[in-house]
Amino acid sequence: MDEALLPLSPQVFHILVALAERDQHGYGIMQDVAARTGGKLRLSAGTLYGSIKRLLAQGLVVELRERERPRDADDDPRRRYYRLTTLGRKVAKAEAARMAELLEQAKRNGLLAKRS
Amino acid sequence: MDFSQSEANLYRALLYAYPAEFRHEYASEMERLFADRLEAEPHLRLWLETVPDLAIGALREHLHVLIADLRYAVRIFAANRASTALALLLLGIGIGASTAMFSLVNAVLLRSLPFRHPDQLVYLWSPNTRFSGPNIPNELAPNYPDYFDWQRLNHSFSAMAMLSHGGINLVRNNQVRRLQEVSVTGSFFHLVSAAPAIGRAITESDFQPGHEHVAVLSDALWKSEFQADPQIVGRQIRLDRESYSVIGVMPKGFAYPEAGDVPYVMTGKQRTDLWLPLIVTAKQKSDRTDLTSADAAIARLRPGVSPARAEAELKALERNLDPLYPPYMRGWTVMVRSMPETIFGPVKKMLWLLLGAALLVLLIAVSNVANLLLARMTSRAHELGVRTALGADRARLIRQLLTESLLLSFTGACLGVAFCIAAVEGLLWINPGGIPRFENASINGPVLLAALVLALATGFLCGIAPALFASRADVNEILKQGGNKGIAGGGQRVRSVSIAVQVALSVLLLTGTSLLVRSYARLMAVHPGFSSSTLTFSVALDQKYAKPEQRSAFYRDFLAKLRALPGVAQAGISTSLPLTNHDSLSFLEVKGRPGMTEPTETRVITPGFMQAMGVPLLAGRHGAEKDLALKIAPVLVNQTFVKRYLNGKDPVGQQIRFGLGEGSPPGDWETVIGVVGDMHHMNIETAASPQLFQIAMPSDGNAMNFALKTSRPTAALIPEVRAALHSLDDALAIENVETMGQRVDASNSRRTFQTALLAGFAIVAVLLALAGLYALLSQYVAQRSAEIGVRLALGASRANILRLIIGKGLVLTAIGIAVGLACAFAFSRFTQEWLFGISPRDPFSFVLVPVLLLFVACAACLAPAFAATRVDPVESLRSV
Repeated sequence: MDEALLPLSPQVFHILVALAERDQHGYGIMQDVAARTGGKLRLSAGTLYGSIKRLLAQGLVVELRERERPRDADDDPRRRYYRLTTLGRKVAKAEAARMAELLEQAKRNGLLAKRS
Repeated sequence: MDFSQSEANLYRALLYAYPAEFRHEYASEMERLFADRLEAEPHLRLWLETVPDLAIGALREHLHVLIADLRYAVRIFAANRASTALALLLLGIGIGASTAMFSLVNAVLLRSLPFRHPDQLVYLWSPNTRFSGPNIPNELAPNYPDYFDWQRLNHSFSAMAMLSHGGINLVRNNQVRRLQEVSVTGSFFHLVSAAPAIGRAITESDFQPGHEHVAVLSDALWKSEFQADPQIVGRQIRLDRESYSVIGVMPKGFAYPEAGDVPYVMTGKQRTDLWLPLIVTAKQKSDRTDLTSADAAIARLRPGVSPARAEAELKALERNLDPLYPPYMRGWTVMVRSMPETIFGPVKKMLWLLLGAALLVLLIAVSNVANLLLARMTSRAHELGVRTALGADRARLIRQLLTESLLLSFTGACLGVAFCIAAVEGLLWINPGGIPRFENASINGPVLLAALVLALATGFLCGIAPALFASRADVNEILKQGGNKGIAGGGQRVRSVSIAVQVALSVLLLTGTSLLVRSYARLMAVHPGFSSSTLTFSVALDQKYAKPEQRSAFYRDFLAKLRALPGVAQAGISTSLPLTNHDSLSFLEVKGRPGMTEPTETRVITPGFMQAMGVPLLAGRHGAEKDLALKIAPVLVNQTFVKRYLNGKDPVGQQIRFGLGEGSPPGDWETVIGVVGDMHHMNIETAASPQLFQIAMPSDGNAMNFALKTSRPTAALIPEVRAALHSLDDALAIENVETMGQRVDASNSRRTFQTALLAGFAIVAVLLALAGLYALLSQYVAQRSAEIGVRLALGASRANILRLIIGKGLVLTAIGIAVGLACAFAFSRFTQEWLFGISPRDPFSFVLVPVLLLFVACAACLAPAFAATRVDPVESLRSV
C-alpha cells in the first residue's frame, strides 16, 4: 500500500518531512519548507492545500481536533493543525529509503563525492 | 492596515474561483495564511506569486472534481446500460441529422462564392415589357447593342462582362468528347477576380482577329483529359475541327458558371469544362434590327453603389436606347440582380427549412433524453438523498448531474458526427442536382464547431430539468420513504409536459410534411404529356455544316439510319425538347383573329417526332414524309393552343403565320393539319402553354434533338446510335442522352430531395415522441402499481384501469396535438411556395394527421395499460 503511493512529488515529500518533525498548521509547513530549502522551494497556498486535501483523502495526514492542538498553538480557530499518521510516516520512510538508495547508486557511479 | 484589509478582501473574493467544496474546507485557512504572509512579505511579490497560483490551483481542483464526477458518471451509466445506449442513440440521431443539414447550409448558403467581394457582383438582365407570360423568364440577357452602350455610358460598374454557354467537340486520339464551353468577353476573369493556376486567363488581347483561338481549361478537364500535364500551356487542341491553343488552367475551386449559377442556362450537374473568347462582330454590336445576345451579362458594382441604384441608371440609359429599335422590337428594360441572391436565393428557404426540421427532431430527442434522465432520478433518489445528508449542497448536485448529462451529450455528439459523416457521404452520392454548390458539403471546422455547440446545448437542456428537480428534492422525505416520492412527483409533471411538447413538435413537422408529400403525390400524378420511356439525345453540328441544306441533308441521313436500327419503332427530330430549359418563342397571327398571339412556343419537328414522344393525336393527322417536300410547312398545334386561340372553330384547316409584332413583316400562311396533346415544357408544375409545331426538316441552328421510341434498353442502343453517327461523321458526338422519364426526375429532383428528407425527419420525430409516451406510461404504471392494486382490491374493474392509463396517455397526446395544430396552422402560409395542387390549410393534412397520431398513440399506451391490469392486488398491497 505505502509502496504504491511512491514516488511522491517533491512538494508532498517536503510536507510530510515537515510534519514528521511536529504537528503544524499550513503556514508553519510553508515556512518550514522554505527554511529547509534556503528559500528555494516556496509552497504556494494552492499547492499546499491541494496537496493536504489529497493527503487527507489518502489517510497520510489527519487534522487535529481542538483538544489535540499543541500547547503553544496559535489561538486563531481558522488555523488547522495537521499530523502525520502511521501510514503517512511509513510512506515518508519508504520514500526516504527510495531516495537514499538512489543517492547510493549515484555515489557508486561517481555522480556524488563521498563524504570524507 | 486598511490597505492590507482590502487586499485580504480581494483575496477572499478571488478564492471563489475554487470549487465550492474546496472553498468550504480551506478558504478560511487560506485567508489566514494570506494575512500572515501579508505581514511578513513584500506585497507585490506576494501578489505576483498568488495570482498564477490561484489560477492554476483553482483549475487543478476543478479538474479533480471533474474527473471524479466523470468517473462517477461512467459508473452510473455502466449500471444502466440499456437506457444509456438509448439516450446516446437518440442524441446521436438528433445531433447527426442537425449537423448533416448544417453542413449543407454551410456549403451552400454560408460559405460565400469564391470571388473577391461577391456582394458587388450582379447579373444584368433585359426583360421586354411586351413579352410576359408563365413561359417567359425575365432573365433575358441584354441584346449586344444595348450591352455595349451600357458599358460605354454607365457610372455604376467598375467592369462588365458577357458569357455564353454552349457545347463543343474535343477530338483526341480519334475519340470525340462533348464539352461544356463558356465563351466570355475580355474582362470576365478580371471581373470575377479569378486567376489561373497555370498560364494566363483570357484578356482583351485575345480578341485581335486571328488570335481568338485560345482556350482556358478547368481543373477537372485538365486532369481527366490531359492527365494534369504540367506542360499543357502552349499545346494545341482540336475543338470542333479547329485548332485552339491552351493558354491556362483554372484552379480546382473555379468552374463558374456551374448549373444553377445562371438561370435557365445549364442543367443538372453541368460544370464549365473550358472557357473561350466570346467573339462579337461589329455588326452585332450596333445592329438593332437583328436581335442577338449572349446568355448573360455580369458586372461588378463600384464600391457603395447598390443594385437598385445601378438598375435606375441603366433603366434611364435604356429609355434613350429603346427607340433605336424598329417599332415592333421595342419595349426593353433593365433588371439588376445580386449574383449570390440569384444563385442561392431559390434554395435558401428550402435548406433553412430542412435544418429547422432536423433541429426539431433534435429537440424531440433531447426532450426524450431529459425524460430518461428524470426517470432515472427516481431510482437514484436514495443516493442523492444520502449525498445531500452528507453535506453535498445543491450546486454540487447540479454540477454532478450536469456533468453526467454533458458526458452523455458529448458522447452522443461523437456518435452524431460519425453519423453525420456517413450522411454527408450519402447526400453527396445522392446529389439530387438543382442545388448549387451542393458538392461542396463536407465535414469541416464550422461543421465540427456546430456539433460542439449542439453537444453543449443539448447537454444543458437534457440535464437541467433532472438536476433542478433532484437538487430540490426533500432529503427527509426521500430518506424516510426509502425511495420515490420526493422526486418522482415533480418529475412526472415535467415529463408529462415534455411529452405533450414532443407530440406538438411532431404534429408540426408531420403536418408540414404531409402538405409536401401530398403536393409531391399530386405532382407525380400529373401526366407530363409524353412517354417516359422515350429515349432522347442531341447532336450538335459544327462549321463543316455551314449551309442550311448541308444541315438538313445530314439530319435526314442520320434519321434514316436511326430508323433502321433494330428495336427503334419511331424516330423524329425537334428543335426543342421539354424540360431542357430550351425554348423558342414567336408572335403568331391566326387568320380571322384580330391581333397577335402572346409569345408562343414554336418548334420545327420531323414526322415521327410526336409518335416517338408518345404524344396523342387528338384531331387531324400527324405530319408525313410527303409534307417535308412542301414549300410552306404545315403545322400541328396543341390542345391549349386550340383552347386559347381557336375557340369554337374546327382547328384543322386553320391558317397561322409568324410575325415579330405589330408592323413587322409577316411570314407565309401555314395550315393546321392536326391537334396533339399538351406537353409540359418548363417543368411539370407549370401548366402547358400553347405550342405550334412546323413539320419540316430542320436547317437552322446547330444543335438538334432526337427522340426514339424503342423497347431496347438505353445502354444497348446508344453504342449503335453512336456508330450510326460516326458512319456519317466521326468528328461529331451525341450528348444529353436521357429518357424523358429521367428528364422528369431531374426536373423534380429538388422537390424529391426536400420531400424525402422532410418525410424522414417527420417519421423519426413521430417514432421518438411515441417511444417517449410509451416510456412515460410504463414508468407511471410501475410507480403506481400500489395505487392500482388498491383500486383493484376495492373493486375497480380491469376496464377501469385500462381507461385510467390510456386516458392519461391520450389526454397528453390530445393536448400536444392541439398545440401542434395551432402552430402548424400559424406556420402554414410559409409552406405556400412549396405546395402543388393543394391549399396550405389542406383539410386532409390537418385532420388526418391528428387522427392518425391519436391511433398510434393509443397503440403506444396499450402495452403499459395492459401491464397495469395485470397488477396483482395482493402482491402490490404487500409491498406498500
